[in-house]
Amino acid sequence: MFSRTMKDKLFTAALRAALGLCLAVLAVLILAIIVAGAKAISFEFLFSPARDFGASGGIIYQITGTVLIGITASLLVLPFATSLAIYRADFVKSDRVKRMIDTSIYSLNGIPSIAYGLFGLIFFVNILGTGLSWFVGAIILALMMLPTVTLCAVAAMKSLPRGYRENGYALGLSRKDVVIRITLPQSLHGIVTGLMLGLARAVGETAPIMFIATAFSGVTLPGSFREPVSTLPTHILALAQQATNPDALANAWGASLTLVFLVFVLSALAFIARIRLSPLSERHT
Amino acid sequence: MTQPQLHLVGAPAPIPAIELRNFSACYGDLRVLKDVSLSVPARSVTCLLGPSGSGKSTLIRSLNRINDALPGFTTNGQVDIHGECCMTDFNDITRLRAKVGMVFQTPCVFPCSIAQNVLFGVRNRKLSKIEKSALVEKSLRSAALWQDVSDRLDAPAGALSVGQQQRLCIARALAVTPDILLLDEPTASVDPVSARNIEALISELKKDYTIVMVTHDVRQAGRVADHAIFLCDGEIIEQGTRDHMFSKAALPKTRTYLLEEFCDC
Repeated sequence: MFSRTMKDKLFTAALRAALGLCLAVLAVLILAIIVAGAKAISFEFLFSPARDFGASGGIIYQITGTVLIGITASLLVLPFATSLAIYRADFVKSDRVKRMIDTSIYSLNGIPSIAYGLFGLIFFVNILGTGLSWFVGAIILALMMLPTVTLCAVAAMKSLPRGYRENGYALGLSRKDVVIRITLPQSLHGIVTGLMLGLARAVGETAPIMFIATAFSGVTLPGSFREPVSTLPTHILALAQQATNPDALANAWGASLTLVFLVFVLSALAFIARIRLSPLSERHT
Repeated sequence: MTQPQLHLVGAPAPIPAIELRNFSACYGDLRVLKDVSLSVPARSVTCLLGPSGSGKSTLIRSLNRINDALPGFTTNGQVDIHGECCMTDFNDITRLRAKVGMVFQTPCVFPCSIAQNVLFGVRNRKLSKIEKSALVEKSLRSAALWQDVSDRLDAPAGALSVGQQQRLCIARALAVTPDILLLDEPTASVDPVSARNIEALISELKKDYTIVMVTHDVRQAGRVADHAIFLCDGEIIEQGTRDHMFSKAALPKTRTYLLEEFCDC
């Protein structure tokens, strides 16, 4: 049979193989998008509006639409996710209630994105009569981001040493003071990371917003809350449906590369924010 | 239920800073303190002694109600702090904790500067910059830490040695100007030299504060305590002055524990 050293080497090799496979898939995917997408990328492509249903022209309004919906969704989700995580960390005593909250958040995370889209269509568009609205799209994306941001915030708050809160209470701090001066600053990096992770996922979503917030052509910058926008993922979908047209396909790759770049920028921002926020999390007076 | 045997011998009758009457505490169904009655004289050091699980920490943590946050923790009976009932007279629990400061076993400094740590509990008070500086100096001097850190008050508190961090925790508790200081095994995490420094500090602090201290170290209790309370299995076996507790007049169980650090209850 295999010796102990051999087993150890085999186990390490298996782990390395798994890592190699993941990296290889990622590299092929990124490379394919870069190679195919780079042909379409130009100043004109990035900064001019789409023409002929996207087969020609650029993607400026898709970029602005994606950024607008993404930032609005982030601003909407931030107070809710943070409040929920704080409530769970500092206000709930019972383990049963904590488990219930956790299960609810995980369940929310497990709902397919198309179900969010249908909920938005029925509740906002049909019942409330909002019509196609980018703001409704942002609300739905915020709902989708809620579990990710909350879970990251909860994880950051859970990892706080118990002594921090206990010492705070022992010094006569009220629960509000403990939240503001200990829990929040010490878990800010987790909240920001969750926000960026949620946002990176949300900006790539098509299904939740395509029925309620986006139009496939003829959109510009919205002048009110009740106007549709076009986003990069929905634009890519529309272009992919015209796959027989090589210009449309090239633009689809170009839009994909732009979307990947946008997500990369968001991740980089999260990384920078995380580093820059740590000193802030250490400020107390 | 056997009543705790009270042997308070050889002490003048001081005004009790803390008084417990028939106090019981439970974690869920587990009763960890059983009808405890005791009184702690003001401006003195009272050591709580006893084996692990005897209820010492639960007792000390009940005095500033820090255990209230634990799920399933319930209490019964009377706890008076300077004549005010700790359970009912302090609607604002933060007022109780401002009066009864606490330092825990493991030093826990906040990730900010030494000065900011000292001021952590007084941020809601409106203090001028000069008043803040004076408070920082006074608290650090009281905790015998001023000489070590006076030239680096803005340095991160985490860079201090564990012993210095524990003294910083004491300074932080003193900055809130409590009357009573609860110390839950304050030297358990520090090296022997730092432990001796903290012991000397405790002996100094008792001139101005009432100190209640949990310790596993019987010899330490012999060095710093004015009064000692011996707990076992949630009940007080004996309480009295240090001289009485460490003398031949103490109960056999107390003597066995203090001499051999063994308890068969």
